[in-house]
Amino acid sequence: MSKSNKPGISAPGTAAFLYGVLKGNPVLVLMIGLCPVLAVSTSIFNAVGMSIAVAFVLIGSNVIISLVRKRTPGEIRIPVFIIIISTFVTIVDYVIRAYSPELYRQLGVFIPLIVVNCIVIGRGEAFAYKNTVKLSFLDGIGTSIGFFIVLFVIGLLRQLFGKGELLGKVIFSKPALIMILPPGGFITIGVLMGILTYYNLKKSKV
Amino acid sequence: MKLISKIISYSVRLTLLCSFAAGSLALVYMKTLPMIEYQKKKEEIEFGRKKVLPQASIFKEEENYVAGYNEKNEIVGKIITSNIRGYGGNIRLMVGMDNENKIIGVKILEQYETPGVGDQILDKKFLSQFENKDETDINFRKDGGKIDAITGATISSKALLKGVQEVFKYVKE
Amino acid sequence: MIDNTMNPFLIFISACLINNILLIKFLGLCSFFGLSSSIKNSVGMSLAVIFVTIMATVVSWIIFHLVLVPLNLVFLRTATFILTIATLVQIEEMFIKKYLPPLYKAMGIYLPLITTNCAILAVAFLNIDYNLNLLNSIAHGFGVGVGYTLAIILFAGLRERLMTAPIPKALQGYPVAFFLASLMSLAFLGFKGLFGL
Repeated sequence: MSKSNKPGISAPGTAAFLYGVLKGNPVLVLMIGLCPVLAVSTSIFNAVGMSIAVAFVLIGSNVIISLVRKRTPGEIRIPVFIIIISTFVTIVDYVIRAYSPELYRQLGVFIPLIVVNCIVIGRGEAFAYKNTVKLSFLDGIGTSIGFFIVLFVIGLLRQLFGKGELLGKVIFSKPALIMILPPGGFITIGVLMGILTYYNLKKSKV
Repeated sequence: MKLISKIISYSVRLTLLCSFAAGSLALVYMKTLPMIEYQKKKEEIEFGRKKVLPQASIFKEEENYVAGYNEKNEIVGKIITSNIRGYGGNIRLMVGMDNENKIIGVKILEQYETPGVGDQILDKKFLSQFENKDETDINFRKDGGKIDAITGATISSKALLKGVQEVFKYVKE
Repeated sequence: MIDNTMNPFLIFISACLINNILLIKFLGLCSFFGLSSSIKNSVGMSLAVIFVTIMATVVSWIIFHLVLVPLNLVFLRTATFILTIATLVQIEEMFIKKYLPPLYKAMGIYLPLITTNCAILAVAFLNIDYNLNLLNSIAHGFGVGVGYTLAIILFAGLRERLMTAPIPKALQGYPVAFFLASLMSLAFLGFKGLFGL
């Protein structure tokens, strides 16, 4: 897990928000939170559902961690994070179970796994524990959006090429099944990363 | 001593947090429980419907029956639920039929027959006799049909047979 | 996929090869890509994974079936499992550091990293979802550990070779690693059907 390009501790509001989307994009730059991305990006439905769940947990735990940070001594901060995060994860777990059994079936074990999602713990430790509630809230939103964009693009690509249909309309009648299978996930991310790296390299050359 | 006061302070904080967390979770759990139970029931019903009319993938509830459509939205059959008095109580059964009123499958949703005796009507062997049969076949062999009753459980078998015959009567209307 | 009707050996094979935790089930990936640039690191991590997974499987199974279920506290399983694993890892680290220094040298530093390894937590949950008894859960956990080891050491070996290959600049590092992973994943898909699974 490499972390680079972290903002200053007292980043103003918009910077905190944009960081999560661009420079500090969890999946493509910081390389955290990978596990769910590969497993869940097999369709847009899953991608959106997962993003919402992660957003709920991330924003919620960021806010609470920031709220209690003054009363939380450093030595017990990890257990505290874990308790807070797992509470939000359990809430999301049961809400999805009750109101969207289809999503529950698709996401499966990855819903409770949000609790060890490096994104959530990572932002809690690196940002929410050291910043105000307002900034932590914005950071949560920004990171969630960054996560959502990546997940959505991958989900779109994999669904389009792997199933051949979008919104019920068939686009490719002979889709490449491999795209929705495990290898396809790896390939898609590899390609996206390659493109991003290429773009970054070009930018730094100019 | 400083260490002891640290341990106590930490323990208190953690316990407080835990209680708060556990409390809110208990609340969420209780509030979502009814909905979760409802979803489970829905899934069971869906599963049962698929078993008696496997050709259908979409089910639409009509006034007194359930219509089954395939992926091309063509109607492939219907499912009727009927009640009949058995030996020990009400028997509720679900019958799937295709468009020519041939039975595809029968499933028992509720029964109170004697365990080990009458509840043999739940056996696959007994119920599968009804599959792929027309109205004329739905009679015991001694009456000219193709169904064998369960030895020792004649009343329950008769009841189930009657239940299926009633379905035919209903469909004719 | 896996259920109690399968004997422990089949469960082990299924967890290790057919449903390989890294390449097929996508669990434990953070450490997979982060550490696999050297075989040495990978070996250390694998040992830690096998060790923690088996212990975590047993402890979480016991807590779930003997505490949470009887007390109707199933909804606390997420919190309980992760706290159990975190605590277990802490205790193990202290214990190994003190009493088994050579082992600590081999894999001690990877222990804290394992707490956030989705693979371990996932195994605990899957054991519940598949409703496995204790023996089968252990077979499952062991299979996952060995599957992890297999995948990561193979991958590390390949990546070390790649470092001397001419790769376009934009693809160096992670992108090409992902392509490599996709090929390995493809290969492991071929295990489907083994022993009738």
